[in-house]
Amino acid sequence: MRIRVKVNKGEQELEVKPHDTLLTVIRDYLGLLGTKKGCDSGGCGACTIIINGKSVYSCMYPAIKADGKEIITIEGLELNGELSRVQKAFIDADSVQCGYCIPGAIMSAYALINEKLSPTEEDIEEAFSGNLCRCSAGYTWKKAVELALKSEKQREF
Amino acid sequence: MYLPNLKRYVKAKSLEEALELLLTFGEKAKIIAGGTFIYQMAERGLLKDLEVLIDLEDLGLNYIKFQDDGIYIGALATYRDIINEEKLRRPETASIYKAAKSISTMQIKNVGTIGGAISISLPYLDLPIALCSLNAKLRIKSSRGERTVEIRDFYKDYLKPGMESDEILVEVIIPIRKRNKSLSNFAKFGRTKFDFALVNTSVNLVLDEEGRIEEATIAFGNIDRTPLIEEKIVKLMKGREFNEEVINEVAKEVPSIEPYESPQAPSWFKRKVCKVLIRDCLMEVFNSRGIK
Repeated sequence: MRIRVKVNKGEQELEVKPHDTLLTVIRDYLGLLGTKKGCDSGGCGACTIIINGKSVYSCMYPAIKADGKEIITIEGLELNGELSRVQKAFIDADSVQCGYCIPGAIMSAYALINEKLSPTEEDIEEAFSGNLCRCSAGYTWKKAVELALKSEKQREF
Repeated sequence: MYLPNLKRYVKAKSLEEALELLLTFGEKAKIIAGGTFIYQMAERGLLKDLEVLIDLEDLGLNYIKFQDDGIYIGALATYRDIINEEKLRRPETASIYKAAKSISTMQIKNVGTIGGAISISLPYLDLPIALCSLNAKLRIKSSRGERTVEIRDFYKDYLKPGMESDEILVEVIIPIRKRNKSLSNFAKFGRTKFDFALVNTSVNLVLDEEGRIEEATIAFGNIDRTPLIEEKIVKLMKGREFNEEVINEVAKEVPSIEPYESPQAPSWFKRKVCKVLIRDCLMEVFNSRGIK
């Protein structure tokens, strides 16, 4: 079946199989390897991407369901060759150890920040509820979100 | 996804088309809404014979409508849609909001649907328990016609909803009769905040002017293989003043049956959790009375 999706600002027309997941399409068909395959059963969050503004597990999202939708992966965050503010904030807050979970965590943070400019502590906890970090760097993600929000506010002035 | 025999994935353009496909392919076709349960079952090798998946996403069934006689929720409304709907946070439907809020992770909330959670028929899910306590009704369509069934009569067994293979759940109806006197609440116990429930409970109380209990519904999840509705307790509560004494008596009486043994915990533990949970749940309602 043919699907049309917008991946990181570029329109794509692809031939997919009915049982393909979006993760297969992103990694194997499009070669965007930033999105990781972790548990492959909707629990670890390494495969998190953004579809129409909402964070979802791409490993359990049927590819054909994505037809006509707008997808953002970790590769789509950079602006003119520079890291986005969320990515920078993750570096500044020292939020990365082994790094495997980080593309997913950054996508969850990005979805949260785009939706709420002043999230509560509970909102942040809920946004990261689907992302596992086994290095325990996950405890600093909250700080990263706060840093990213700060830089966002500074840019407004 | 491990669906070795899947030949077609159809994004249905109309409900009629979906019903016709279901009728043609019978057991070899399945409805897909958010797709999270389909995925989990496929990975466990339970859908090896599946040939057709019918996606209902484009049918516009993700509405939440408020009318005088009740609330109408389309089967494709996601957990997130329910959480974002501020009108559902009122005391009479707080249990739905709380149940949706406590389901799994953010990524699941963004795709999982109320219809999926109901028709998969698993005893530990949160939304069906909240809906049981609110005496919700389910509107089910097939090519033979349409029927409405009480959610408490809907469940048959683990993974066995009371639906034929050619039927589709299209709408959930929550009757609201006494808007200003109803109070509802939901509580859950699991390993983590975002895990499936080990035990969950939902209550719905209707109080009269003097603060006496006029009607009460209490439901427990994961005690029996289908949602457990405590009928005996209701008799104990009816007509009495809603106070701590009644709450303690209720906590002593539940659950009325022996909880089944879960892989996570033995029966006696679940029994204890039940008592604490219902007490907390009712006390929360008791303490928040008057704050509307």
